[in-house]
Amino acid sequence: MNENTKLILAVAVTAIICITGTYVAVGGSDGDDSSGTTLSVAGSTTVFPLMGLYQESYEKYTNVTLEVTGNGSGAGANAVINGTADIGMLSRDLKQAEIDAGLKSTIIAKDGVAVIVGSGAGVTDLTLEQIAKIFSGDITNWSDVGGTAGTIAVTVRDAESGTRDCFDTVMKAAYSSYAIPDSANEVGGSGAMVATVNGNATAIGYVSLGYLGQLTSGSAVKVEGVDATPANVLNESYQIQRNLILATMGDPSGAVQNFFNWILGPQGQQIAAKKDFVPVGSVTV
Amino acid sequence: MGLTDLLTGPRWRSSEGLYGTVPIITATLLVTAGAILFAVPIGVAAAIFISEVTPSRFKSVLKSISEVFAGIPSVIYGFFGLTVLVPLLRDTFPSHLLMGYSWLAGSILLGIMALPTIISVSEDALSAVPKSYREASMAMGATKWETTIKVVTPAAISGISAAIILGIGRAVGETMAVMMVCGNSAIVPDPIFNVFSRIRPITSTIALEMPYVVIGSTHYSALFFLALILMIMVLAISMASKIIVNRTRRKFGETENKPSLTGIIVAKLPVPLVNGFKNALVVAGLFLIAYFISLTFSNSFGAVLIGISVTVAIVASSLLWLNRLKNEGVSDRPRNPSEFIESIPVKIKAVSRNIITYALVITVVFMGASLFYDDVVAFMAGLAVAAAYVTLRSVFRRIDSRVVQKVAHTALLAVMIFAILLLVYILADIFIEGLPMITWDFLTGYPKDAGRAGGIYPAIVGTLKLIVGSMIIALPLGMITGIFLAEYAKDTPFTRTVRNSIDILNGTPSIVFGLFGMSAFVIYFGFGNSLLAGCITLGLMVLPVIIRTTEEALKAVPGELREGSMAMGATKWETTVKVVLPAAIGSVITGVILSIGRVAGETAPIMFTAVIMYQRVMSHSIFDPVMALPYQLFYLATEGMGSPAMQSAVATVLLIMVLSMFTLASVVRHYFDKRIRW
Repeated sequence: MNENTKLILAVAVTAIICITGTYVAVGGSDGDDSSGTTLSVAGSTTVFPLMGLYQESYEKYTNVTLEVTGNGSGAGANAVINGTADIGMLSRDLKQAEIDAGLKSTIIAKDGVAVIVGSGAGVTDLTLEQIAKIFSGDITNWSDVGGTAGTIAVTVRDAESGTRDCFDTVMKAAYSSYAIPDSANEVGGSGAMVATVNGNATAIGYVSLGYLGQLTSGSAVKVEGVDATPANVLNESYQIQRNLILATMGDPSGAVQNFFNWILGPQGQQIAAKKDFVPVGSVTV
Repeated sequence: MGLTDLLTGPRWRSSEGLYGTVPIITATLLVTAGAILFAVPIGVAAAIFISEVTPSRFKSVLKSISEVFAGIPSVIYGFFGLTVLVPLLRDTFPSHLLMGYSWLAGSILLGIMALPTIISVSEDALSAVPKSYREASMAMGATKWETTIKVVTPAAISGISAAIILGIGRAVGETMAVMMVCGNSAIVPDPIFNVFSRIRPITSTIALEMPYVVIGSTHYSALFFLALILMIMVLAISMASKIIVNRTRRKFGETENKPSLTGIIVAKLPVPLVNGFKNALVVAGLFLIAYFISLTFSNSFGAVLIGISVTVAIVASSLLWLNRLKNEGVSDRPRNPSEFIESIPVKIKAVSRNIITYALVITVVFMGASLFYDDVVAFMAGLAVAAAYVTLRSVFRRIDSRVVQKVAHTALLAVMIFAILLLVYILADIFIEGLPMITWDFLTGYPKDAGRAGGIYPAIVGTLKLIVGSMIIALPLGMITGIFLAEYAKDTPFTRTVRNSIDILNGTPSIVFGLFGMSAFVIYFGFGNSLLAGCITLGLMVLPVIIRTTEEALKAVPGELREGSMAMGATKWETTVKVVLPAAIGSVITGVILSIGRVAGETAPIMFTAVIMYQRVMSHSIFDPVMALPYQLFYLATEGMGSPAMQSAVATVLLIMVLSMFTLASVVRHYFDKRIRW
């Protein structure tokens, strides 16, 4: 390649990048031009995949565009309070401070928190007290709960997770000296939790029912003899459960309200049921 | 919550309102120290190999390989750490690492990332040693290796130190990679040298907690406090490297930089005041170091006592030493540390150097071994290694120096090959898994199922938008400032201060830009999580690079060209635009392309300002957020979303994008290098 060719090539590449970039930046007509409303949604990683499915269906019928980020329940509530999101996804009820800040909640589904263990744990059924002791560091070997000998690798969610909030509340009720040690392995999302248990044979963690499909190695254990299934959440025999809510600043109105009505209607609830969440509307599981 | 609570609190737990920074700051210090231990031997050995052993025609090849290391975005390193390094460590140390996430993983990764800085700056320092030094040494009958180790390296030692300090600077401010592999438990390792412990450095804490912080709360302030500490560390590091570079200049007979505003103010102050201040700084520094170290094993009251007694002991013994020297008439009272060291008799120096070396060897081996065996065995191991070290040293002294040279050069070659294999491995690992996934549909399709499947079109377009937007902001501003500084600004204390500030901005960790961008543009100006906020943040981040490259490029144009043009009757402006700028355009374009590569790969500045995870329809408003490749990779990898092949495919696209920028930059540089001759 001679020098001139090289220069022409370099200039051409730069030009192409700049032109494509400018084209998309100023909004060239690439067929997806949206003239409708955009709603930004942030929050719980538990609700995030469900919201993804809502989005795929809902955007077909309307000109509403959804922008979704999953970064934890606390992040969702604060994003609405700070004004950076229209809708917050939470996998727990609102805290008093959040209600005081003006948030209103709409329950869209119920969900169970499954206790998941790695493939080498060798246990299928645990009591609430056993689980609480494992997470507090009072039981450290699988052989102490009837499993295969091996140090238990405890994984917990971050402090602002709705899943952790629900799990901790149930555990505290079952075992008074329940406390997560600072040294526990902490992950920032539901998917990360499942990935950790998939990759570690002696791990224990907890995750929403909606994520059990991602669990490829390891399994969900029975809690007090009850399987973690939507049906058992609905009849309340499975004890680790919570509400999934969407939070807005003030009562929902306009496009947000229409969206919520659709979610609570048959189509939306059917999608929730398909994802292993428990519908709150009139859809059979 | 007071300053003491922040600085001495042993626990950081935002959910309980505890914001003690001790475990967080300790983690940053430890992970950086580990990275340096890993990177310095490899980096310096590689630099010596490139500068002293490699035949000149391979030099540029090896140097560009190390530049490729520097160009890989940190989220890619994090992805490699998460998918390769963490499982590898877990399987290697099954009884110590339950998961693999650890200080060790973070340090190795940061070490790899600091390598290119250390290699290229050390190599420059070694090459800058005048040829006459080498010739003189060889003429005395020394072998090439003896010359390298006893003449060239000591002559370049300031430059090598500067390289190490810059490497430390890179490691301290790194966010994405450490966050992905360190496990993020806010604890002080127990014992303090337990490299298998999970830790949570300053940068990770900011990145993890920023999304859910309530604006204006104590928590928010605590995160800004952490950012402040990070900035102080980075400032201290950049000042240290400046001082060392100045010393090198003096040594090779160059003139020193003229003072900036602060320098002039300091020079005008009365001498006793300045000295008093310096002494106070030293005492405070000693106290803080002792205090922080003792905090790890004692409560804060005990730490204060230990801190005071250690400081008093050191100050008193050095005063006594100085006094003795004065009484014996050995020298006048030494005025600074290096004179002080020179005043120590040679014999004492040699003995104490040996003692320090052995003590270090024994301590390091003991620390490592005690993690696996009990303390007695570990101590014996330390002694054994020290003894082996002594024996080896005396053996090496006796054998033929040509054999020594051969052994040494082979060892250097081995290190170089290790570094290159590491790079090849990282790239191959990603490309082999990712390339088969890349189809036209993948590149032009929309994501499905919350990003688990489908294409990444919006992320590619989003990244392009961020590049164009940040360049629209940074290019005009940066080039005009650069031209002004090079051609118009007189060399006044004010412009020197401006230049120093630009350098500081250049060294600022990208997570700090993210924090600033979020609080200023997203919240305060009300742009929201948006393309606009992201572009301004990224633009500000690359501004110093563009200013400095423009300025340096223009300054490299010889004065004769300007004089010639002015003599023809052209105005200053005509000269700048028609003569100087065209002559410098190659370097300017190179700098710009390199900044584009950096913008494309950065994650930390956009994660709170501009990006979302999932978008089915692209919006074209600048007030709406975008998807972006680096963030998409971070999210898919940490959340375990999509198949590993899909994750690798996203990494591959990002890598191809960034690396093609670097290739383009080097083609442009080569072209202009050849075309322009003065």
